[in-house]
Amino acid sequence: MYEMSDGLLTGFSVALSWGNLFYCFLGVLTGTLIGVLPGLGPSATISLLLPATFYLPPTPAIIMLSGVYYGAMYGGSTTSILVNIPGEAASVVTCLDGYQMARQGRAGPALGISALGSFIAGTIGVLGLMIAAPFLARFALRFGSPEYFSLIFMAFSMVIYLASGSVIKAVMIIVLGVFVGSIGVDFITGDLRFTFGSLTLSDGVGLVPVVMGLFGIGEVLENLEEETGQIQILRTKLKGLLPTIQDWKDSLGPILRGTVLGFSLGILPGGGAVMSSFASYALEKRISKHPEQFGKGAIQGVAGPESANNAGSSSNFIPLLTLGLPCNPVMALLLGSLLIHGISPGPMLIKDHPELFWGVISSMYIGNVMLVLLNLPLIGLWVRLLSVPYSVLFPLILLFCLIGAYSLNNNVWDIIVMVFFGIFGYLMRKFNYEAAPFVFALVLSPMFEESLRQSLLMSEGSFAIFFTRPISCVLMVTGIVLFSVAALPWFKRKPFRESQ
Amino acid sequence: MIRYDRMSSLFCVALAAAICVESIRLGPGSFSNPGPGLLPLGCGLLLGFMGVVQVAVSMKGSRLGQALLWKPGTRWKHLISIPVSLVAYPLFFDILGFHLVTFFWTGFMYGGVGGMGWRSTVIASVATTFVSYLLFEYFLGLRFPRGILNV
Repeated sequence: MYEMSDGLLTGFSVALSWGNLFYCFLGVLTGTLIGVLPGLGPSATISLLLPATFYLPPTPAIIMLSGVYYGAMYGGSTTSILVNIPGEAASVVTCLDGYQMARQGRAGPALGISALGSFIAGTIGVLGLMIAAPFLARFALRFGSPEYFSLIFMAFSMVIYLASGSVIKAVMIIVLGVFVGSIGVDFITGDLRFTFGSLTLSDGVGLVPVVMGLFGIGEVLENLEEETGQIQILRTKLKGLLPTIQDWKDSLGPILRGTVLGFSLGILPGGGAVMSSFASYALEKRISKHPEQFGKGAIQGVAGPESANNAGSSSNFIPLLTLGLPCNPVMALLLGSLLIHGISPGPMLIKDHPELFWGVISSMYIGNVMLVLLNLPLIGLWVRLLSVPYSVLFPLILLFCLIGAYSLNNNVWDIIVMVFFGIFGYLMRKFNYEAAPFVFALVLSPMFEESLRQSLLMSEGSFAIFFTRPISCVLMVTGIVLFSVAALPWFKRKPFRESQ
Repeated sequence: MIRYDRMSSLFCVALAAAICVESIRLGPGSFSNPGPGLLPLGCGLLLGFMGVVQVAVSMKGSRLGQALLWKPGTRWKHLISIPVSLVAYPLFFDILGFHLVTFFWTGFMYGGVGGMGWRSTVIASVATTFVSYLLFEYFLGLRFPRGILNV
């Protein structure tokens, strides 16, 4: 307890410096902005901003990038409620009841409960992160190569289990990600693998050009392939943003349940804000005395999911900061940013870099307060931003991608890699492959290979090592069970559905 | 999607075969002494296997209800011109320099792809070039090529 309060004091002394306050504000402001604007998600934005943070010390860099992530969770609800278009994926479910509330003249309470629920959940989520992370970090000190291999195997199984589409496609895309992650110099023998004589590829395929391509360029291509009309904003008076006592009575339960659910799901690899919000909506509908009101403007359908996605965005940091394991593409980018700054996230992070760990956590408290202040009084401004035409927005996104990729190494080949993965990302969307598991596997591939080869060297080629050590065995068995649970229904079901 | 699943799976099978060939050349080693080709070989084998399963599954599939990947009215001009222009941007980087190439490139994007009028295009391109100069060169201190005109 003393350690925690001491850490928090350190954290607040770091986060409350003028510089870090500025970067926190910049992060949450950018996050809200991209959350509001459809067609630009947090992954693309963080990959665009990543090169700019190379010139910053690590703590303000991570404070800013984290702010973008949880800021996007706040901002995404605005477009869902007022336009029926989710600003980012986690706010899809908010459209169902949020837009209906707006049509009934209750846009104000919907936006208000969304912002305040997000604040409550975000703050509780950060508290949970603060308590859980040091415990997990201490536990992770017992991890060796076999445990890490089993952990990553379990994480891959979890991603396959949670994949929204075909199990086969999820496996294929993860395998492809692991393969692309193995391109470059072999860390033991120094051999060049699949580089085709390219110096750029000998350093491996960079995470930033890949993410910029998949999420930035891929998204722009998809948005521009068809003619889309100007977004129609619902003309309604935004009055009474503060919810009434009845609204609070209806929403308090969903907010707290959404917080617990979102926090729990956010820790899981492949889980996160999107899954949290959908699960919360399903839970609220199931336990409601009036499930028929859902989809027709039930405030519980806004409060629960919005709280869940914000709590999930806090707990996403737990596996990253304690195990060095990113559970979604945004966390993978944050991992990349930490590595570029020479910091290896993992069990020793809290001990070796307390100013970074506690500084980022403390900045989240401050960022949550900033977000409430940004979101409630400035809603009118955010709504007006929606009228920016996409023809103005997309050249800026592409230009940022170009400059961002080039500035990594002042190398035009990084741009070529980015364009390649942009086209690849676009085709993945068309052929119904998910991009997130690919990035997840790409990031974990070096750790996966290193732990596999070291384990095999330790055991002289026996795979039993993964089952003879208790922690590794539990993780491995969990992974196998998860994979089986994901695969068995697929084998049992009628192979083809009309929707396929 | 079944026909398209078959197409993408066949591509994966071909890719897997290429990965396996190169992995064997690299040397997979043995389990007790794994070589640089071990993981890629494993990836190639698994990718190929899953690809074959997907092809087999799609062979049995119903042909009813197949959705089109690209609907009529797809703006192919944009789908081709954007990647081409993105590749062209770095090619002219050293010759024209950052400012000029950014001006022309954004001009093409605003006018050619975005459909703006020529006056708006020029204003938007100048503004974007100026803002990118301020942000990246002035504030972040990045250094870009100046080109043969030293602009």
